[in-house]
Amino acid sequence: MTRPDSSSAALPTIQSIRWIISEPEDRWFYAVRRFCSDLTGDSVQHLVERCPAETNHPIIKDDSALVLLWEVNRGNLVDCLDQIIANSWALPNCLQMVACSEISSSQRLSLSQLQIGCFLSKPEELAKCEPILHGYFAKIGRLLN
Amino acid sequence: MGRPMADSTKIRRFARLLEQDSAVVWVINHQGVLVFVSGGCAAWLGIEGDQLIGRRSRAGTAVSDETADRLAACLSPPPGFERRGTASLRIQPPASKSHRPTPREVRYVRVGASDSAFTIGVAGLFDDRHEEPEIQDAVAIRQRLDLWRQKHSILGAIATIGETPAAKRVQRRIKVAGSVRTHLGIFQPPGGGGESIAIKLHQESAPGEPFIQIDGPLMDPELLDSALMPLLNRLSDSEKSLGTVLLKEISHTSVDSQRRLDSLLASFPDRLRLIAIADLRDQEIAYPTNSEDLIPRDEQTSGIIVPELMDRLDSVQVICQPLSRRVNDIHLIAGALLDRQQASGQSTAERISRPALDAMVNYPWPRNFSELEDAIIHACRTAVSESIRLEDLPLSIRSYRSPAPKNTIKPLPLDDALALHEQQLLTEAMEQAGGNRSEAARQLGISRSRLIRKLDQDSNREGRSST
Repeated sequence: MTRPDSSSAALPTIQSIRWIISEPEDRWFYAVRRFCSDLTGDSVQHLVERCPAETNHPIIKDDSALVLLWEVNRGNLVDCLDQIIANSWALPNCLQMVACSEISSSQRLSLSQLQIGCFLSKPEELAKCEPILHGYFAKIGRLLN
Repeated sequence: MGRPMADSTKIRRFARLLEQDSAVVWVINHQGVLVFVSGGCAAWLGIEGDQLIGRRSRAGTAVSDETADRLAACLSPPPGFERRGTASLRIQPPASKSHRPTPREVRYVRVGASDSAFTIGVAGLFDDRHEEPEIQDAVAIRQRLDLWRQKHSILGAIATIGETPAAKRVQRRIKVAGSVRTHLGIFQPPGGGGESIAIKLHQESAPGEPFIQIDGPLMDPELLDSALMPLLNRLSDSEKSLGTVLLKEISHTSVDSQRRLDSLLASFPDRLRLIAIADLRDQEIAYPTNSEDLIPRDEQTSGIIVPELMDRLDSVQVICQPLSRRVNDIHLIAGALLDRQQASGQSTAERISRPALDAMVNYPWPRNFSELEDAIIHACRTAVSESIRLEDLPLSIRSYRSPAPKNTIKPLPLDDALALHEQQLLTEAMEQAGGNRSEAARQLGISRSRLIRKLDQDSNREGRSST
């Protein structure tokens, strides 16, 4: 695949990436901890944190590489939407992902209007985030440069 | 009036039960004909029940303009009821000269086998309509997304206000782009507000049409398919469906993904449209006459746009200039951003002080509109008086000093400088005299022969310099 900006050229500028996982349980937290180094190699340090679902998801001010993963279900769909919108204004350079298996096609279409890197339905699908993370690193690299 | 009517033995027992109460109930048979109207229902509508029995009650227009037909039609369940089997509706029956029915909440339910099913309609006080989680969520999502799009539309409008020729040109392009649903290319410097402009233009050119926002640099062809799946499914399901792809940073999107997108656009011609935003970095943004001029020259830093997509984006293009080239618009944009903050209750400041404005005009704004927006938000949070002072601006702006202009003009030797000045005077005098050498010599206070000599010297000097 031809990429205008070589991701490998941008990778060295990113040394760490922060993950904030918002989910009712711990499934995605452990999955990210398990698979994150497979996505980027060992050269990048991954800081994986939980954002408890029952809190009001404070907007995290961070200028470095930041991935927010929201587990969305029918019960928290609207709350998550609020947070995704708020973060897209406050942190335009963060990468937001949505993990969802229960929402309908029209609900997903509505969420797709927002800046969402990808939709995942189960933790095993994290592997498909590899090109997204590389593209994201290249983007952040361009911004830092 | 008010006597319950029934024309089917199947529902007589049911009708007798309702006679004892003023319940507002009616029954429609599988052919869409009213077969029962309770006394309460007849009273609500202000008509004898037996006038309604046997009339068609199907969603849509009434069979005739007759009052009974219009009332029968208003009792019909909404479209889609056949599929779902239940429905909720608020009915406002048509008023007559003597009776004005109040609107009522109605619930419908289908009873029985599909080929002989009855539809029962019940009007009353219900508190369940907005408690269905899916409906509640759909309403909440819609409200939030409407607000989000509205906010973008306002920002898109602010990003393009101004009086400079560059701003006027963008405003004209936006007017065209907002009036027609076609592929659209937005070329902007980084942080130029392209996303907000794109959402504003989508709202204006195709209101209500679903769109999907794609971050181009993150996509490979497979991920692109996955991201667009809900929209593509919708387009495949119905030939009347339309959709828009809002692609950010197209010039940093992989060539394979761009080609894949092009093939998808070709699969749904006229139905799937593309709004692409291209960031042009470190590049003189001119106003090109053809699309090739828009393809960034330096592919290492600015990426490429494949010709197939570029051809599509030729339809309408909006080319935004960096703020550094719209210096005279900065005070207008900053003022509009401040007004927006104030209107949303996030600012006590009402104006921007002269020193703060001067600093903003002086600053080069490498991140363009988004940086100016951030600066105003920061200043509004910091300001303690009615005016935004220089100290309220972010440090990077208030401490910026424009580099001293470099003295790049090499000083001329005295003789050359004098000769140059003399040549200018001679040329002006000849022009004023209309080429008459005697008149020019008089104006300069020299003899005609001296003037001719000087002119010959000049032409000889020019000839030497040109060779």
